[in-house]
Order: sequence, then C-alpha cells, then structure tokens
Amino acid sequence: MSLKQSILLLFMLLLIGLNANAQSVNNNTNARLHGIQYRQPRGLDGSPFLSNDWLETKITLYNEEIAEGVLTKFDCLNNDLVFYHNTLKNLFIIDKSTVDTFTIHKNNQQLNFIKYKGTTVGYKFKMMILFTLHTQEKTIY
Amino acid sequence: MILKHKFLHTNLFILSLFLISAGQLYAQPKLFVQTSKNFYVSGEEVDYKCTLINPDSSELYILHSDICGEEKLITSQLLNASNNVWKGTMALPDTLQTGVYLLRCYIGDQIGKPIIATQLISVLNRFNNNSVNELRKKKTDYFPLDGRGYIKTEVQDLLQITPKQVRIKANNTLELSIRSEIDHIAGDLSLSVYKVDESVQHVNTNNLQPYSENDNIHIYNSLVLSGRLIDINAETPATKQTILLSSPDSLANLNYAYTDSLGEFKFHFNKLSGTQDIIIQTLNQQQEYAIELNPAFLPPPSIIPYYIPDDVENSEFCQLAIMRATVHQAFSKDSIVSSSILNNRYPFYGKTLNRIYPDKFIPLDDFAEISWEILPLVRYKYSKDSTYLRIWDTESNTVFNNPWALVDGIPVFDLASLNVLNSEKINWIEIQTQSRCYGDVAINGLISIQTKVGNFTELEMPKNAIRHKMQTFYQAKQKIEKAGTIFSDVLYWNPSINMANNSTNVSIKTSYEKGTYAAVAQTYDQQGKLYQTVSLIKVE
Repeated sequence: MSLKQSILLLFMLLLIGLNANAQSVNNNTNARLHGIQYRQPRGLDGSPFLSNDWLETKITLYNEEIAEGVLTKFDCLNNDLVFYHNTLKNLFIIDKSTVDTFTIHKNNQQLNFIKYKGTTVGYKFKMMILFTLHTQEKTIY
Repeated sequence: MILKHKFLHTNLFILSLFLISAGQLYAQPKLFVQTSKNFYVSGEEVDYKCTLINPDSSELYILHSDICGEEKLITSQLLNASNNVWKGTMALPDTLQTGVYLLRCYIGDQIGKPIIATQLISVLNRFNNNSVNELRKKKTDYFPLDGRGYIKTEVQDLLQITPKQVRIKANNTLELSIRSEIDHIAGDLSLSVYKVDESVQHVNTNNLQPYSENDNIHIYNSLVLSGRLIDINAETPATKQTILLSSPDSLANLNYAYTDSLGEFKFHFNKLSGTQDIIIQTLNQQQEYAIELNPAFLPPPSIIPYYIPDDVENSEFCQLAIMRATVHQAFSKDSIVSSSILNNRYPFYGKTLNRIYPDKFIPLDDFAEISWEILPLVRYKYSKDSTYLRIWDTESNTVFNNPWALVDGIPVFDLASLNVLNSEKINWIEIQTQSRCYGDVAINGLISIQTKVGNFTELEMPKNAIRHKMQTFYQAKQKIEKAGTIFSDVLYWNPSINMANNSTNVSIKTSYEKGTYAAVAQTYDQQGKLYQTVSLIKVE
C-alpha cells in the first residue's frame, strides 16, 4: 500500500466516521391527491385545456406535502387542474381546497399558478397576480 | 525505507481510528432532565424541563416522556418539536403506590435509537397505600432513597443566587437576585424554589437500566402509529394490504397505509393533540386478520432497586406533605384542557349538498325504511342472506353498486349492521353521488350517517378492526389561578428565566407553610456541563 493509498484510506475512514449517524429514518409519505372524477364536457367545440399534452407538474398541497411529476392538464374553461391517477388509471379534478400552488413544466418553461379566494376559489397564473398587485387595479382577496 | 513507510501507515491508521472515535464522541448528543422538586405525593403534578445538547442534526425533535414503575408505565406524554428545550407537566395518579419511580425523557436519534435522560422521583401515597414499598424494604438488593433534600453539587462561582433575606416570614415576598457568568448557556436557566429537609443532601446516583433492552425498539422523531397485520388462518404476516384509520367525528377523516413485506404498517401525523379515539381496520374484508399495534413508548425498566425507608415515610416532612396535598386537591380548581386540532375543514369524501335530517320526518324504525322513505338516490335492501346498498349518480346516469358507508366517520363494510339505525338514533345522513379519489382509494358513491351519540357506539366493532386510544402531542393546560395558594411546597418554578445582561431579579410569594426552602438554579453549557447553585431560605 503506497502513501497515497494510505492517505486516501484515512480520508475514507474519516468520511465513514462523520457520516456514521447520517442515515435517517424516512418519515415522508407520498403526497396524496384528492379529487372528483373528470368528465369530458358535452357540446364543446375545441379543447378546454391550456395545453393538449400531458405536462409534468409539481403540486404543493396545504398540508405542506409536495407531489412531483404528476401528469396534468389545466382546464382554462372551468379553472380546474385535471390529473391522471396512475394507480386508479383514471382522470380526476384535484380538490381546490387541498392545493396551495402548482407549477407546470412546459418545454423548459415553468408556469407558476397560485390559488386565490374571491367570490369563487380558483387558480391564477402568478404573473397576472403580480401585474394586478403592481397596477393596484383590483383587490385580491 | 520500507520499515519507515510501514510505520507511517500504521500511525496513519491509528490516527484515523482516533479521529473517527473523537468525532463521534464530540457529536454525541446529550439529554438532561430537571424537575421542580424531587419528592411528590400521589395526585400531584410533576413539572419538568428537558434540554438537548449537541443535537446530531438541525431538525427539530419531539420528546417522549413518561413515569415508570417496575415493568409498568404509569403515565406518558409527547411534547412537540421544540428548539431543543421542552417543558411539560405530568400528573401522578391518586392511586399511585408509595415508592420510587423513574422519570424518563427521550428522543429518537437519526437511526431511531433512544437518547435518554432519567431522574428518580419519590412518591408518597396520600391514602397510605404502600404495600409495594413495604415488600421492597425486605429485599437485600434494593437501596433506601431519601428524596426530601436537594442534589449536592460542587460550589460554582459562575452562577450565583443571592437572596435579599435568608429568613423570611410566611405569606411574604422573597426577593432573589441571580447572576450568571457562564459563556454560551445551552437551553436557558431554570429556577425552582421548593421545600426541603436541609439535613438531607444526596448525589444523583441514577445508574439503573432505564428500559428493558429489545432489538425492535425504534423511537421515531414524528408522531407515528405503527403495527403489524397477521393473517389469522395462515398465521403469517399479511402483505400489501390497505389499513384504514379513522376516528369517530362528525367531520369524517380517513387515513390509510399499506402493509410491507413483513406485514408492518405505519401512520404519520402532524398536528394531533390530546388523546385520540381511533379505529383501525383492513379494507379487505374477505380474510380474517389480527391487527397488532407497536407501543409508542419505551418498555418500562424491569427493576428500580430503591425504596423509601421507614424514617422518611414517618417523618414530619412527609406527613405535612400528605396533609398539604390533600388540602391542595380539595381546594384547587380544575384545569381546562384545550380541544384537539382538526386536520381538515371538509370531510374526506368532499362537500355534498345532500344532507337529510330524519328528525324532520315521521319516525322510521330501521335503516331500510329510512332509505326507502326519505333518502333520495339511495336504495338499501336488507335481508338475512344478502343486503345491498346502491346510490344513483344522476349526472352520469349510473348506479354505484358498492358505495362506501360511514357511521360517525368510521367505514362500515358490513352493510347488514346498518339496519339497526333508526330515526331516533340518526342525527343526519349525507349522500355523496360522485366518483372520487382519496389518494389511492377510489370512492364510488358514499353514504355518511352521523348518529346522535356520535362516538360509534350504536354499531358493533367492524370485522378486522380494533379501537385504540392514541396518545398524541401534549397540549399545555390552561391553569386557573385562585387568589393565591395558601400552602405550597414549590414556591416558584420557571424553566426558562430571562437572563438579559447576565443577571435578573425574581420576586416570590412565600406560602403559609413554614420550613426550609432551597432555591435551585440550574443550567448547562454547550459541552453539557451542569452548573447548579443552591441557596437555602428559612420561612418562619
């Protein structure tokens, strides 16, 4: 064993020693999404969705859980987020009461949405909210 | 040259081992516990403070604390994550026998191993219930413990208590001045002024095994309920099964977990407080299962080799303590316990507009009649051989043949058992006619029945289910102070004294009880060294 190898061994052992207590108990649970089954609207000409592709979305829930990589479509007509449930193999509209924010990833772009409470509860594209706040044209509830 | 190299390698190896062990020793977290006094009477409360030094991670820990007898857990509580200092109060049962008990406080480190701090406490039963203590006096491997005094420590100049008066009259105001020159105090300074027998000083010889060793011990740093599911017929662990957890509530909440390859399951909670009444059952009703829950606390020690000797039991100090505790119990007001925090504002099956109150209709004798007469969109047919429940979804023009049924928020899969519910017993009924997902659980239609009693006692326990009182986070009681305590052996207890400018003054009202009181100030430095100073005051 050369001197270099010895020094390497020393550092490796040191690292092992320092990290001996670093194994953690995984307390995180997967975020659970709740929603109502999605039904295709009748008599609609065109698509209600922001994008017709299923886009990966990061959803932050009110209980601070985060669901990442969820395939969603944003329904602009009804202001709803539709997601594909992998286990139940079905489409559901996520309960607005459970969502805090979500970010849709589209072609290296991030579309951030936040929830607002007005006369009805819905989602707003974050830039629109910032613009509204800046111009002070409307009151945000 | 070769020899020189070998020598160098050996030295490097030894040095590395030394550095590893030194690093681990340095990083070793330590936990300390302090109480407002050492000697208690049954029915009294134990005020304690726990301090963690050198935590092995930046995350916040939750504290488990309990009071144990031999192979017996007397009382326990969970304190929420805090900045490495916890303050709690545990009530001693009035039926607790005279004897020496162990107060344990512990956290789970990063691999779930307990880091524990303990303190022995002496308890006198105020109804002279002392048979266990009498038995221990006869055993040769048990030792006498006199808890009437205070723990003796070395004199320390860095922490000082200066009383304005060393002798003071009963029902008067005592002024104390505290000065500290300790650099980097860990976890605040505590001050307790309690009655002692000045002739008794003892050293903390607490070297007993604080719990029965067990390989399966795992202390989680979160509020967890874990257990195991056994297939009764096959006598093997049941894997990949869904376990449902719910509690009787008008706002239905549901939690679920899956069993792993060992049949084990785990539920994590965040904001629950108080004692929760929960029902755990399997989603699968085809097989017969047994549900075993793991204890959330460490097993109690098998032996606490101490007893309270005769001369202590019969001393004037102890007799006065019993009289005082009795007076205190008789005249103190009850405390108010805050209610628990609800997880959601809506039931787990979502909002529904279909709520029916059977009281608004003519009385109906069973649930089959109720469904036929007053429940729109619901068809319930009861017979001894087969019972079914159907819900009609008007939007999609479909019928849900296997909807969920809830009673007081608890899922009920044996539909025949619902028939005992009549107009007299039911408060309201909600009907959810939608297909929903609740995480991975599909809910195709649901009927929720809230009984007037509301605690799931109108029906028998479902198959494959157990009911459990789960201890969740302790919520401090809101104490109602009367005009002033007439007799008290603890004149002052503050686990976190504000030491701005390294000194402070404290005013304490003495009670009518005469005797010697010890003012004990305690704190730790960042290395875990205890600093304690004691000043004796006579109340005449």
